[in-house]
Amino acid sequence: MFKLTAVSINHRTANVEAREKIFYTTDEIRELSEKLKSAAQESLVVSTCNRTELYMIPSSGPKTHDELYRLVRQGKRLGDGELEVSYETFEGFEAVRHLYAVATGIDSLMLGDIQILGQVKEAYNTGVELGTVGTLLHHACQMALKAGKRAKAETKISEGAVSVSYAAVELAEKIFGSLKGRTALLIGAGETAELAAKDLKPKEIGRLFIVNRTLERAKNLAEQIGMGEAASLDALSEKLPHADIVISSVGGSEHILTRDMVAAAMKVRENNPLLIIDIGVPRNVDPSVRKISNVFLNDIDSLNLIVEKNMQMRRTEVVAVQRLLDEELNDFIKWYSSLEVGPTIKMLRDKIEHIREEEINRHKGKLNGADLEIVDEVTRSLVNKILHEPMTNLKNAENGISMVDRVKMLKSLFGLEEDEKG
Amino acid sequence: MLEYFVDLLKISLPILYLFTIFLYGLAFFLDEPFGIRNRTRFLIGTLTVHLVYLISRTILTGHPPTTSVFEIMSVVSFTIGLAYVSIETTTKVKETGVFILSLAFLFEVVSAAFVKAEVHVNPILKSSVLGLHVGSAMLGYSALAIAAVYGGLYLMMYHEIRSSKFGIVYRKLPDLKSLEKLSYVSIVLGFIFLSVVILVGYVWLPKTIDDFSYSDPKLIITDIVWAIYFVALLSKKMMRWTGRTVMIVSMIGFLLTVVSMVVVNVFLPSFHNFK
Repeated sequence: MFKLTAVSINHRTANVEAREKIFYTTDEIRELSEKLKSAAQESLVVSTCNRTELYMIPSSGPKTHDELYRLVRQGKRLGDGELEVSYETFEGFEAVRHLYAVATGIDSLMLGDIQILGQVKEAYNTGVELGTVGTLLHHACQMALKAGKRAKAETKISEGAVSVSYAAVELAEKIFGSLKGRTALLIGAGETAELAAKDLKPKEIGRLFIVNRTLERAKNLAEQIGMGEAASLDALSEKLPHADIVISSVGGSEHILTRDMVAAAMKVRENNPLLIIDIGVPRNVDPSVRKISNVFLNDIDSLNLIVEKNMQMRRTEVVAVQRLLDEELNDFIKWYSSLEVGPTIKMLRDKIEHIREEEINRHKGKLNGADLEIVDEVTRSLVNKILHEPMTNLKNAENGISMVDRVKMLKSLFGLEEDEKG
Repeated sequence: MLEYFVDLLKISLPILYLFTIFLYGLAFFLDEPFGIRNRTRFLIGTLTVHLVYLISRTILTGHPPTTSVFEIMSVVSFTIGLAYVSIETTTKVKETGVFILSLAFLFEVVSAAFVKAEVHVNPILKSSVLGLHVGSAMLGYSALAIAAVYGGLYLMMYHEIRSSKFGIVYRKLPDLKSLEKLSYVSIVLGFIFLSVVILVGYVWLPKTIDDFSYSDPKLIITDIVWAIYFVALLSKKMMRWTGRTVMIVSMIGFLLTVVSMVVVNVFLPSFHNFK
């Protein structure tokens, strides 16, 4: 029997505070995995900011889901009554399917999250390193990683920006193509500016200007990001013509960027396209700037619209990913069944051979040497012929009954399960 | 027998182009896997049939299919398809096929509806210099047609972003920079081929045609079209014209080309008519 059991504490069962408390660092995963070695044939701990999950194949006797949940709590040294949260449970192949769903991002808080695949891979590598991942979990993890890669390549589950700051980057890429070597200008040095800068930096932008009312804050942000030239707000007109992308997110009731300023900048930059993203509330940029040719002015509503449309697209892709998961799960079941078929056939053959030998031994005294040889030959041939067809059918996966069910049925009919336990 | 075969291909080609556009449309508008998997394959198949048609037609009539506007339209349709395949292969951008191939379909459907098999044609049409002249014209006009389509797509994307709509055009089309580049490269290629057409024409035609005239409407129109693109390219370089302006000029240039060619070929007398 496939004895994989799993519990999952995730964004559906626990709030962010609880998830933070139950989150395992790599060292804590190592500690828990070491402890589990005596109780589990195989185990895997996946822990991210949105989920902590324990997959386990117990070494002796089945473990209840509650026992698994207690193990997770103990690993975090949570006392009785401290942080009781609900959890989801999975058994057998459903647990494998859940692992696949996690790896593809369809179970994530942010649908289609691509980071989760790397986190599952990290959990698997830790398990391999500690020796807690055996044959079954090894294969389940490998196929989960494959499912994750397939989902990314064959569906649109991870496509499009789903955060406002990344939507700004996506918009810039739709105008300029690659952002490599481009110049960005951040007006304001708050949280929004920081997020935008963090998303722009990996795109290998050439220069980053950060202008802010308080120069010190701009300098701090530049230092924190590891790139950027800080300047006070007075330098805005001077920096503006050099920028391809402007992201403005400062407070104040007056427009920081007026139509005249932008028109003058466009003249200097020889009318090359300029993207201005106004995230400020109230708006930082005079809306009439939009009328200048080759100026793309977008605000927070535009970015929210991009995010919503991308989320809508991802939601429609879930069905395609689930179809893909079913395919991968079927492959896993086939693989697992093939593991069981060989030993089952051997057990059955051994059992019948044992019966045959016992019967021959029982009548040994009544037969002479030559007759005994003939009877031995005839019974051996008879056994082989009787077993041939059922054995062939057992291996044949095309007769409508799953391999797992056929093996189960065979074991039950011939009492092989008792022999296994015995 | 060959005549029936050519007629069969003539009728089949618009249908094949339509189905190819349908596949590109399925992929573009509905993300349909069948369209995504088969669009390029089917286009290559259609172009192969088109090539067979052009060769068969040449064998049947005894001259290349360049003796009438409608024969030329079929060749332009073929070269647009061919140019698109090479663009798709080099840029890996498959999302513009539905638009570019619609132009090829339009040319082919008009050609199929009106083309006639002219067996007896002016011997001048068998000259190899004419092959260079007409061949360059076909490639030149195809490139300008493609440039115009990319120009149109650029403007669609430009307005979609400026008006914050972010619909299917935003999601599916390549970025503005790439569309501008594709259009610009097509204009440059079209301009080079057009220059060859004019050069060969001015050197070769006066020696070959008795009633050659520099005031022939077709010559004047071709010169005007060439001059428009020359000014556009020069302005881009000298006056730093960018994106939108170049795209608008590209579309106006092509529109003017089509209109003037139709007017000149259908309504005005010309020595440039070798029947």
